[in-house]
Amino acid sequence: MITAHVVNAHNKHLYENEFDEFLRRRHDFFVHQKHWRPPSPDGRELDQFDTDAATYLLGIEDGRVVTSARLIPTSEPHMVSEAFSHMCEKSGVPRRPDWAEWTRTFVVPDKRSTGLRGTLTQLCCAVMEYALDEGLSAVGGVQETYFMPHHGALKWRAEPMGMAREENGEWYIVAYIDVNEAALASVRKILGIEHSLLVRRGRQVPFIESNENLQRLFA
Amino acid sequence: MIDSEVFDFVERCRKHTAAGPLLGDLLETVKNLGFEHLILSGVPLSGQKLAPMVELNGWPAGWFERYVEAEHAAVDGVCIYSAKTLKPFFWADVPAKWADTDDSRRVAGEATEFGIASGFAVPMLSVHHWQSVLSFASAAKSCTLSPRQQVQLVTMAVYAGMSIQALSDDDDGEGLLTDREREVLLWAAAGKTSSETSQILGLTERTVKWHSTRAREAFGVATTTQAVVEAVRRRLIHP
Repeated sequence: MITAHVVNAHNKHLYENEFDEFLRRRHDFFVHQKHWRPPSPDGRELDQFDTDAATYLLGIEDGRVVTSARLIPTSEPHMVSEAFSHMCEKSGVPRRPDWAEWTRTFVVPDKRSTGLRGTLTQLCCAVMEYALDEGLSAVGGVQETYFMPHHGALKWRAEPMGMAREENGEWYIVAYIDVNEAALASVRKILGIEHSLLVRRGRQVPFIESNENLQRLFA
Repeated sequence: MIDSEVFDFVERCRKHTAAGPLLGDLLETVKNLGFEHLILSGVPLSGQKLAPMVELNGWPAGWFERYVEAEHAAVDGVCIYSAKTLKPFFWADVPAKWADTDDSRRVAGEATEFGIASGFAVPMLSVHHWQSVLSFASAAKSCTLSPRQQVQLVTMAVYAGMSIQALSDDDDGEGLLTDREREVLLWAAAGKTSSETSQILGLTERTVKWHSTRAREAFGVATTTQAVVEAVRRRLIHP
């Protein structure tokens, strides 16, 4: 079982090694496996959304970063607002501090499995726990349609912002998952756990408030 | 078909509490795109039986029975290709390697007798099987969809697939095996024979064999190797 470490601009210095490992795993996945991004000479993958507004959940097991999630308030520039707004024809691009965009999720190859109690579900559980802790209403963003049934299996409700689309040979949809107690309870039940998966070290700042602080800082 | 009908379907999808009404609703809705029949099923890999993997059966009366009885899944190009791609596809675009075999053409020929001549398939993740496919069938010789219609169909397929996963039993086999059966499979996975396992566990060989048989029955498979694979896949054992 993973523990999910909450990493943001304020406590990142405590996670230098883990964060570097995370960027290398991202490079393995998003450059070499998915071919979504061009190779980077230093073997680390970073994009324009890796700013101080981002909060990361690093899923660590046996001392390794095996999975991850990046959460960005949709009130900040985010992937959907900058690159996929045309896929929100039904509801428009969400821009709310309590709606987080969830991106950059990978699972290292030896932890992928088709079962429902694996690393991916553990990460989903951590994301839902974090979102609920932070008072968020929804998490989501652009997702591969192929994986959407996983949300169904967790008994999660995902609201589409528009139709599925084919882009560069893959099918995507922009959808946001409702954050609530029931969603956390159902994924915990599937995993057979009642405990928290989150670890918070160092200075912690609320997801919603930290965003407001940043805005003030840069105003 | 207009977009709002698709989103209305998505909304209704989440309210269905059983597979039957969901199937009826989906069939009714995709009629607008020229599809009369559909099936949502786990994709059988070689040797797996199709029937227990089917989640929504909207095939014409008689065709499903015929397909299962004749074991068409093993040779049908559409079915074989469904295990090999993650992307939605027209049946007509299945590569010749699988579609142009004599057997596959025979299956396609038989299907026309049941009013199935063309179709569109949407592969999806399944938590129970290798993967799932939602396949829509039309009586038209070749089915055509505008880019917008394709988008509409895939959107509905994805939400139907999500709903079915939500309705299906979430115990992924827990309780399927007893602790003893799990233990026996674990030692089999480690390469131990029944006789060796019996010594390790302090049981008679007959008892060990009995546990293996029960585990095979639980998964509906023929060999202990298959039972080990299934138990690993469902994360019931961690060799």
